[in-house]
Amino acid sequence: MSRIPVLISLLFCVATTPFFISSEKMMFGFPIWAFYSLIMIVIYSVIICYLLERYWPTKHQDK
Amino acid sequence: MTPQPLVGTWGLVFMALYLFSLIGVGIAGRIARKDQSLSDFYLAGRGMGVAVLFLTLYATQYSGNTMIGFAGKAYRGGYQSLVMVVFMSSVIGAYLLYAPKLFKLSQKYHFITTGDFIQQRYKNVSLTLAVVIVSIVALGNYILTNLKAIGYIVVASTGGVISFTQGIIVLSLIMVIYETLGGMRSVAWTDVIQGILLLGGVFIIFIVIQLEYGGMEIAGEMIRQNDPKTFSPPSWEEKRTWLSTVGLAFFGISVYPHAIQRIYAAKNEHTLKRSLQIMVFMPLVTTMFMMIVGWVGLSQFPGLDSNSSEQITIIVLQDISARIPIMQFVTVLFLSAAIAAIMSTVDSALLAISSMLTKDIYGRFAYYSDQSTLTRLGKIFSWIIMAFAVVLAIHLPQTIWRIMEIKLELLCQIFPAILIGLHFKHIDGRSILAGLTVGIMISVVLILNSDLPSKPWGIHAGIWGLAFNVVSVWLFQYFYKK
Repeated sequence: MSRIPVLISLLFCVATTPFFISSEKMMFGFPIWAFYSLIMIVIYSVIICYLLERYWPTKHQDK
Repeated sequence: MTPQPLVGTWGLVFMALYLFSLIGVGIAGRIARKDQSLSDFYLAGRGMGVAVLFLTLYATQYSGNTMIGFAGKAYRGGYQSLVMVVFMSSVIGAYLLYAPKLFKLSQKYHFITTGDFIQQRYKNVSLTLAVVIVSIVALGNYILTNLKAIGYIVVASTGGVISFTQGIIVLSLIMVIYETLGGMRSVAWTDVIQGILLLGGVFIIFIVIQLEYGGMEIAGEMIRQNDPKTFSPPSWEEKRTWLSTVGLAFFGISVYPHAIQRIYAAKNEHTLKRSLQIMVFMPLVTTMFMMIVGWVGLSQFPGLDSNSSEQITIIVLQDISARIPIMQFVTVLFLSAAIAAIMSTVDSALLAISSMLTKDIYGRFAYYSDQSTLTRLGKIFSWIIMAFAVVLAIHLPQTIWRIMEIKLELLCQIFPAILIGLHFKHIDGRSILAGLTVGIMISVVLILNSDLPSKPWGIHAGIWGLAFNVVSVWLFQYFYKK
C-alpha cells in the first residue's frame, strides 16, 4: 500500500479531535464541537472503507 | 438482604438455554474439523467467509466494557466521552496499514500466531519471546477483567442466587468446553451467535430509549440545564489526551493477538477486506449507541456517584421495565448480550494464549512434536490457563489489579515490531528488541512511579513509551550498522 492512503487515514483520524471548534451551541442534542467530532468520525469511517476498496486490490476483483 | 434479581424466571431460563446451546455449537465445531493440525484448530482451517469473519471480529473486539463501561463513561465524562467512538474506529484505520501485507505473508508462510510472523521476519528468538510474553500478559489481563465483570453480571441477574464465584466457574467451564471441542471453529461460530445478540441488544435498547425518553435533542437540553459543564469543549490538555487515547487504540487494540489470528483465518483477501469495511462502521452503531444510553441516563438520573453511574444502563432498563412491564425482555436481551460480549472476548483471548504457549514457546523448544500432539497440548493449556484465570479473578488483590490495567500501554510497544517488520526491510531484530525494551521500561516507570505524572503533558505513558521505542529502534539501527 502506498503512502497516500496511510497519510489520508492518519490525517482524518487526527481531524476527529475538535481542535479549533469550541462553540457550545446545541445541534441535534450535541454541543457544536461534539457534533463536529461526530461528523468527522462518520467521514473517517467512510474514508477508511473507501481506501480499503481503492488501495487493496484482491484476486476476487480481478476476476 | 438479598438483592432483587434483574430478570424473572423466564429470563433466566432464556439465558441458561443460550449458554448451554454454546456447548452444542462446540460439538458442531468438533464434528466439522478437517484434521488434527494446529491450523485447523487455531485458525478454523483458514476458511472463514465474510459473515463469520465479520461477526467474530465484531464480537471479539466489543467486550463487556462496551455494554457496561461505555455508558457509565459517557455519564461521567459528558460529551468528551465521544472520544471512545473514535477510539474504536481508529483500530480499523490501523489495520489498513498492515493487514493486507500481513495476510499475504500468513498465506505464504502458514502463520498461526503473531510470534510466527516476528520469528519469520527477524529470525530473533529473544525478540519473538519478548513479543509473545507482552501479548500473553496483555491478554491475561483481558481475561481476568472480563471474568470479574461476568461474575458481577451473574450476581445482578440472579439477585445473588448464583454467587460471584459460582458464576465465574460455571461460565468459564462452558467457554473452555466449547473452545477445546472445536477450537477457533467453535469460537467463531459462537461469536456469530454472540455478535448477533450483541448487535440486536444494542439496537433494541437504543430504539427503546429513543421512544421512551424522546431522543438526544430532549436529553441534550436537559443535560445543559442540569450539568452545563458537560457541554464545555475539551481544554488543550484534554485535546492532547483525546488524541493520545485514540493512539492507544490505534497502536494497542489493533495488535491484539486474537485479532491478528482472525486476519490469518480469513478465507481470502476479499473476505478480509469486506469484513474490515463493515467493521469500520460498527463503532457508530455500537459504541455510539451505548454512549447515547449514558447521556440519556445523565439527563434522566442526574447526580449518581462514580459507582452507581457504572450501572446506568441497568438503571435505565429497570426504569423502562417499571413503566412498561412488557419491556422486561429488553433487560433479558441486554444482559444476555453483555454476557455474550464478555464470553466472545474471553474465549478468543484464551485461544490466542493457548496458541502462543503451544506454538511460540513449547513448539519452538520441543525436540519433536507432531501437529496432533501440539493440538492436544494446546487444549490442555487452555484448561490450565482458564483454571488459573478463574482462581485469580476470584482472589486477586486490588493492588495487583493496578499492574494488570496497563495492557494497552504494553501492547502499543509491539506495534513497531509488526509495522516496521512489514514495511522496512533493512531494520534488524536487535534494534526492534532494544526499542521494545526501552518502550516497556518507560511506560511501566511512568505508570507505577507515583512521583511522576502518569500522563505527562496529557499524553498516556504508553504513547510516550512508543515514541521512545521508535526513536530507539532507529538509533540502535544506526549504531549497529556503524
